[in-house]
Amino acid sequence: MRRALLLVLLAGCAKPSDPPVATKEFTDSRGKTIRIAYPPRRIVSIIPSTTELLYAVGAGDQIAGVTTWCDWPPEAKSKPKIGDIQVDYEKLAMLKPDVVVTYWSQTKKTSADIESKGIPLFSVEPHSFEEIIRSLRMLGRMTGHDAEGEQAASTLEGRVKAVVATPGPTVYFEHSPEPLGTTGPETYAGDALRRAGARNIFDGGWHLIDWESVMKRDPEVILITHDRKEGLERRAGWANLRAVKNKRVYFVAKENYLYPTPRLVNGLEEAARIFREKNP
Amino acid sequence: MKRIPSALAIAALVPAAAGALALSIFAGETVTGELTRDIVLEYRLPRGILAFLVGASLGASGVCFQGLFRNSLADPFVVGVSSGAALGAVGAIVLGFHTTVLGLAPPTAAAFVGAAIAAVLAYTVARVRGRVPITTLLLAGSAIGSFAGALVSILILFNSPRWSEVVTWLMGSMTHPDPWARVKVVGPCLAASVAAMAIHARDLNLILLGEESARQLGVEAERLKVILLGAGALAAAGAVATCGMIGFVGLIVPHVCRRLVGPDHRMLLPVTVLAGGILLTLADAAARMASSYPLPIGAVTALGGAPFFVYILRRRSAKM
Repeated sequence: MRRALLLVLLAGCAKPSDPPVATKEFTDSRGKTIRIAYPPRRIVSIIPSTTELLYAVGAGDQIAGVTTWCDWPPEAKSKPKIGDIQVDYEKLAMLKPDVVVTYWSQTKKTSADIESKGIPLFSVEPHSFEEIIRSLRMLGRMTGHDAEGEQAASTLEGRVKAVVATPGPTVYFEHSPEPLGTTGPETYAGDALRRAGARNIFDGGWHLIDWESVMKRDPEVILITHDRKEGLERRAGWANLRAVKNKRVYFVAKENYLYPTPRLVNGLEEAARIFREKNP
Repeated sequence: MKRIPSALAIAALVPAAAGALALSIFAGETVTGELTRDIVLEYRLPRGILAFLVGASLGASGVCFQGLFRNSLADPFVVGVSSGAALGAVGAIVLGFHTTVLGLAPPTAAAFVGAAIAAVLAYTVARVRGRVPITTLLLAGSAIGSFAGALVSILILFNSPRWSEVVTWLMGSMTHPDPWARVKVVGPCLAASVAAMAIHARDLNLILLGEESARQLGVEAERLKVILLGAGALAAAGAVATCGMIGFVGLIVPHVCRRLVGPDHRMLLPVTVLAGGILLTLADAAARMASSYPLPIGAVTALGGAPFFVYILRRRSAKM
């Protein structure tokens, strides 16, 4: 707590006239070329997944601000906060960031606002393991941690490749109970499931669904990342679903599935184990 | 517009209701496979019934409040009942209540509590020297509604992780995976409130003449207000607690029915209950046929219902 306070105070007192620094150009996930102070000393991350990626490439010390939702790694919690989904532009300006890092499509409006204020904005936007690995390399280079970025990328790559999936069961993945929300294979979570051997019962990316469409597809395995177990048995036809009859409904930790970060590989490994299990 | 004989209206509405339910079962993709029975009997049928009961509740509540307040702009959402219910449900979602109460999901239970507090508060605030002037009750309700609405907005800002659940709830939804469980909640509320309204349908007619006249004709006005406020609030709370905020039905259906069968509540009430149920059942079936994406039912009812209402208004004006 004291450390957090100190950081806030320090951030508030950043000297208005820092000496001119070297700059360098980088291309982000949008294909946009951004010129930033290099190496950036004050990075603000406006979404939890980019905070985690920055720590993963060893740039944690350069992070000047994060959101109130950035809780991983635990050190991130003591960084100054610039808001939640709503960025407090005043706090952001006071931190005088060299660059703001984000996942563009999840923060479009805020990101555009920040960019319009003349603050360099660097986006990484992983929709798959390949892109998470590429994002680690990009962030490593951008923050001046080329070697650590490369290291993090190849470690992750190794673990992902080590999972050899055999065509497995049909799977329904539920991340939200109300409204019912799932993903098809076209997201990072969907990529993890696919690589683990899932035959996803839905197509496309993140979307809301009608319970009837799950009943119709009668999946062999159900993976649930939320903690609302009560009420499941009240769902129409629940007891007659194949997955329920065969006791193949699994409650898994959302941290391992719902963030486009290296932790996703934990989900991949866990899902691969689950999908290999035989019906009891 | 010529009035339709009431008996004829009811004779036409009952099979129409059955037809709407049947349509609701056949709406959407044809199903085959092992779970067909479950899909039809455990999902589609109760979902159709749920839509019917919720529409009927909103219609009943609307007709009751429009009569009681002698105000054609009254709907189930005046007297702050719906905002109170919304505050309860959103509060339960945002604060992450997990324990079920009497078998009710936390937001449902909290919505009932919120609705009850709002109704009692409106009544208590409006009560002066043993009497509750109807205009004061209406105004007190709308003040309480605004206050609860403001708290809802603040709660939404507070907690964004379960934002989509809050939005779904506020926009009204029929896509719950457990429709039978919800039928069991809204059904008894509807039955009890419609029974109370039916018993006092004649008194509702008399109160249309004005409170003093009604009193002279033997209506215990203050007691009647308590009963009807309670009945209307219960019907609205049942609907809102199970399926969220569904606008339009409770305001418009009583109007349309009044134009069709006249202002006698002994006929108006059953006709409105049936028509409200049919409207929502059809709206839900239409929503399912139009899109595999779960559409917010409140938007569907307003989209389809508003033009129809405008048509009714125009036809009437043209004749005058």
